[in-house]
Amino acid sequence: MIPHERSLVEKWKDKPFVILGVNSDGTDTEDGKKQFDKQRAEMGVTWRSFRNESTDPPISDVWRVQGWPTLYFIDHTGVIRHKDVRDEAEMEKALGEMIAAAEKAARASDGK
Amino acid sequence: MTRPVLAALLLLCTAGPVLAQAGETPPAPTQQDPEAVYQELARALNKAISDWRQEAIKAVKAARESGAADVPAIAMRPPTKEFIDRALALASDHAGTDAAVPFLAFVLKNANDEHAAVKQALKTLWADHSASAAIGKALAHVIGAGFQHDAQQEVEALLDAVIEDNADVDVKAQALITRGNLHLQIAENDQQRAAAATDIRKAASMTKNEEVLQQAKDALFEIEHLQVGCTAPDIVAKDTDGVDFKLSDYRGKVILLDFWGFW
Repeated sequence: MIPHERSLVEKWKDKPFVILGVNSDGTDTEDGKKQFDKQRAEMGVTWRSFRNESTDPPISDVWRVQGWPTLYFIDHTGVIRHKDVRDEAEMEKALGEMIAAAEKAARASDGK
Repeated sequence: MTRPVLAALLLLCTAGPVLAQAGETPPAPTQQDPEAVYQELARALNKAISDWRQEAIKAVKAARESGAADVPAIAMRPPTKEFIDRALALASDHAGTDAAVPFLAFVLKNANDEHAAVKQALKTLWADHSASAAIGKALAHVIGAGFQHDAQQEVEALLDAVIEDNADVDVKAQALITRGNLHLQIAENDQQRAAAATDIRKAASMTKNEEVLQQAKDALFEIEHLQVGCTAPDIVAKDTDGVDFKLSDYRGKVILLDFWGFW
């Protein structure tokens, strides 16, 4: 999961694409944060994550997450385009199409 | 097969382990308060799981240090079987009465790979308890149990029966929400999602119980805001470093939103 995500970030570093996490490793405690930072460095997680429990109820409750990991694919206009595609090739295909649409929209608005 | 006949067969099935144990265990748990027996069972399971976790961690560590490639067998299997068997036996001691329901719910909640026991618990709930107000306790665990133990059919049958048979509006509403949530999870098209929404709206209209109403509200939020094609709800929260940010800060970019943890 994480190595694949790392490769996506690398592959699309110049594209309108981000990974955002919602993390539930208990980073609100000193110990939890220390452990998290250590693992984040070891695993090369460079992308930003919400702290799941920083809202009440937690973000995962509002988003009705039933199991981990759960993925949402959100396009450049903020619309959910896919949920829970897990297969790596399918993920890349879906995201690639969404990125192409985002770039096309950006070009169109530049041309105005 | 009619339900009473099936219930009788199930009783025959559950009688086996009880008789087999009669010689070696202290008799008559039925004379004790079933609630106290339940609490004792739940405590004993928690203790066993916690002991097992310690042992499993030790075994994994030892295996890693000795360079073994395989995960030790103990780590793969929490010791639930003994407790699941006991819960089923206790449920059959109280067969047909509300006192059986918590033990059946215990099976749904705690079974690990005791798939047959889960199916039996679901069938017993369906046969004996679909009209009981006490069945609410069990409904919270049926979706998870259905997926984990390949018992979808039994779950569907139970929910249908509760919705049809139960006169308690809160329990009926809870069953409708549970069925709606289940169908939402397995829906493959908009028509199926709409049917799930109908169940949930119907539940919301019939109950005044706040907890059940909240369950309905949460489910409707999923239907109205978290489907493919919906604008994603904004997230306004802190990042793992404690800095405020919003999902909508990234408008204009494609976002892969990943609920994750290292654990």
